[in-house]
Amino acid sequence: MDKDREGIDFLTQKEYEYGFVTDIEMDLAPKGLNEEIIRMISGKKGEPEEVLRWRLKAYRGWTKMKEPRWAFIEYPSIDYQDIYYYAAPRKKKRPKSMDEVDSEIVATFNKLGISLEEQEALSGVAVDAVMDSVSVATTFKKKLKELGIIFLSISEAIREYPDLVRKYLGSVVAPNDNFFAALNSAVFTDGTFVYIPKGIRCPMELSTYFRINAAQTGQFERTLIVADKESYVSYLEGCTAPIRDENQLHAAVVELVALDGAEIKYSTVQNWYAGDKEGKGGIYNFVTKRGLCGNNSKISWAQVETGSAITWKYPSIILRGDNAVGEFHSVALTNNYQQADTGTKMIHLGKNTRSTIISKGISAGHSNNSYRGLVKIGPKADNAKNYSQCDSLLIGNKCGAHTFPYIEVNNPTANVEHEATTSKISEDQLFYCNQRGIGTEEAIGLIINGYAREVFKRLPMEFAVEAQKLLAVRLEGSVG
Amino acid sequence: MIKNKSAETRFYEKLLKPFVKKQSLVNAFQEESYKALQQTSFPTLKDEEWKYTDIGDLAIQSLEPAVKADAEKIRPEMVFPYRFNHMKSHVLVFINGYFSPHFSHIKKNSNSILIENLSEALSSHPEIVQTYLGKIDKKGNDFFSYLNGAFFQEGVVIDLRDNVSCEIPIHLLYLTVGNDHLRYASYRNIVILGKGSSATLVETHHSLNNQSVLTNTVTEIVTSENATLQHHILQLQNENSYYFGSTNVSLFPESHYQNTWISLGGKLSRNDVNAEMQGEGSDCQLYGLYAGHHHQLMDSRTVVTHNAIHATSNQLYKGILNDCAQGNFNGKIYVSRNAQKTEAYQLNRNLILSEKARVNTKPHLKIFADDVKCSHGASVGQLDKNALFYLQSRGVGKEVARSMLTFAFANDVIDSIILGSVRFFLYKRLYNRFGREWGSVDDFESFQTIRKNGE
Repeated sequence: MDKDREGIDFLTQKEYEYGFVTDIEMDLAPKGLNEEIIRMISGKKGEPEEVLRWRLKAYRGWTKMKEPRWAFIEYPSIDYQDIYYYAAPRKKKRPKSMDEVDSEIVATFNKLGISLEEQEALSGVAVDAVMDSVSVATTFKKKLKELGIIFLSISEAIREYPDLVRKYLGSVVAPNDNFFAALNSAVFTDGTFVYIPKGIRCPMELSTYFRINAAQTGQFERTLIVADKESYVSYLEGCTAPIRDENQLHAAVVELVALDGAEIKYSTVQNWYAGDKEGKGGIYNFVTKRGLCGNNSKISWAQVETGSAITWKYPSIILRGDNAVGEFHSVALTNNYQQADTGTKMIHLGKNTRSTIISKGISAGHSNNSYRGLVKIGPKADNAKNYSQCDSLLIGNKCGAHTFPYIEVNNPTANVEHEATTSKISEDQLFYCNQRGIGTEEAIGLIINGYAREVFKRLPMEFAVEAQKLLAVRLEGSVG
Repeated sequence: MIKNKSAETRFYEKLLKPFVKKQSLVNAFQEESYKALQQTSFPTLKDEEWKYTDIGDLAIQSLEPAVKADAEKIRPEMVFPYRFNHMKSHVLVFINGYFSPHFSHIKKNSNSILIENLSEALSSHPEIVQTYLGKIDKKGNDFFSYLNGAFFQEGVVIDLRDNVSCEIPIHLLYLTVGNDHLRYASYRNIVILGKGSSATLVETHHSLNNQSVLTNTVTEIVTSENATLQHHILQLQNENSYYFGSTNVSLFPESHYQNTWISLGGKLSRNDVNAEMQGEGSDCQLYGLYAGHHHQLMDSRTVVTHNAIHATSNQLYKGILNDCAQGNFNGKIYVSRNAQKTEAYQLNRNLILSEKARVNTKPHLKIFADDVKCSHGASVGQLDKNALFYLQSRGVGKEVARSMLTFAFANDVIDSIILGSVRFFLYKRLYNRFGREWGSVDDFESFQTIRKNGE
């Protein structure tokens, strides 16, 4: 098994490839969090008084809350006063086209393989690139505008479409929903707003790349996607971050609203810096993601989680309307000293609602990977159906894989099934591959790829390449 | 620590006061538990382990120890129906937390088998109690476990020497007689099986009237190398009663433990099974059936900890919930880093029969070893429509078909009981719950007789 060991070691010792720091002059607010800082952020963004009041309310709620510690993750306490809550690339005016975008920023994205020009020209993807906290480039805006689709940074949307934002902001994740959502509501600096009008099918995948850049800067993204009746949108989110020694905090909020008959597909590839081999550094990722379904609507989450020192993330769906459908497909990979506590919540409230949960966990090194999920069937959700499958794969004997499902059923017509298995890559499988001339490293890659295939299939074509590339960096690439 | 004067806190004080006066804390263990109890807050829905179990209604009732005098009024014919009359067994009868020697019947034993009630064993074999008391129950921070430790009244001590097999089953029959107040009865059992020994233990809980009694039982079991224990617990108390039971087992190499937990009674019943796989190749089989109706709340909990290699465990828990009943399952499998080659399975299936019935299930896995096979499953649903249709298409009425299928659903668990008399006793109880549509009791009995003869 020495060869096998080698393969695993090689795989678990892969360094983070995307670690580099772009030198851009930063516009920093002082460290710490208080009402003054929130007023300053709001002021810098030119927000209406109303939004400031909303932020302050969230902040006051937050000061009374306690940091949640129920998840199966361990980390030193976070000093919330030791974080910069605002950092923006200095700029003179808003760039109107790609040429005006800071060349260094463009270079950064190029290094990540996400060239704005290329993407615009070749793949037809509209990219709203977020460098730290401010949107620096928005493409394809015109084309989308013709269809009435709004695709803006959220601060622009607050200025330009205040009524629309007011109606939906905080409607799915209330400002005081939980500790990290409250923190986000108080200090969010930027994010994305999408509105798809009635009956419109968004012709392209919308995508945003987030990137933590400034040292000691937390990112507090706020994403709001509203799909009006009978509309469709597919949204992609992916992230990479440079190597830093200090732990960085990321507390994003994503809200999805699918009105009657609408469909939202939300895909994520998360590859924040996970810390080094000794577990030093890495991003703390505390995300609140939730979608709300109207009648006959559908929301699906697909995620590939490979990064972050700590992942605390439960993309949820409230199936409020009748016949609504919710889906959750996830691959979570932890390596070295990474810790992930992730899963989903499916809240069935409407009749004939259906949900599917497919979760694939892979743990290697000294990491801990937990699935934590809730399936709740309300008393009025007649004929609700849920199917959950949570598999865990262990690589090496120093890691842990855990499953914590919660199932609450309050209706006799419900059908809920949950299955989970835990196993390792069997010697038989490896032997079979070896026997046919496939090296151990390659075989591990092959087996893991097959194991996660069910979820990869769910990623949109335009994104699959990128996702596989990112995963390959952490797994397949290293063994193949 | 008492932090705020909530309703629970008031209950907690109410709970302790009468006992502090009436019960002398005889030994260090009770004193220790009492101290720990004072440090533990009364469980509320905010505690993760009590998330779905609301015991707030205990807070508004005053609790007092069960009365011995009530127990003394009991006549033999009142006890008779609760014994398994066609089964030869050692019978120990406990009423209201006291041992009743005149109803009990312990067959003469050789020196290698010890079966005694706790207070007697304390004087005849204090070393056994001293060695094992509180050593297997390691829940920690559990209110009812500490409560039991501080105030247990009676119990049983069973000790089998090496290579001895107890030929006939041991039956522990617990009866309660309440009166106007909510009464408290508690038991502490110690079961030690020597190397290569085997025994069958049946515990049944019944009420003799309709008054509410809170029963709190903690059992500590050690199965030494190659020992085998079959353990069945039947909770059939009236629907005003509260039951908090915990069974804690420590399994040594190549030993086998099987537990079947049946809950049909009680207003609220909560049963813990904690099995610790300490020895290589040990095997643990846990079965459970909770069938609730009216406003019953039934809580089944398991923790299986794998600390040794090559151990296997299997859990099958089934729930049938009718009317406004609530069923909870909380199962945990914990595989530690050195427990390679573990095989651990867990399955929880629930049947909801009415609109207001509820089920909450939490099947948890925590795994730190890589070379293991572990799986768990949970389902909540209704009777299979195809099966119903099949029966109807063959001329079986809908209601009858439903009750037949419900009965069959429960049967998986009942069949794990190896004692025919106990199974038969349960069939009748279940028949009264689900089988009424099926035909007269006589038909049912003749059916069961055929079944029995066929075996």
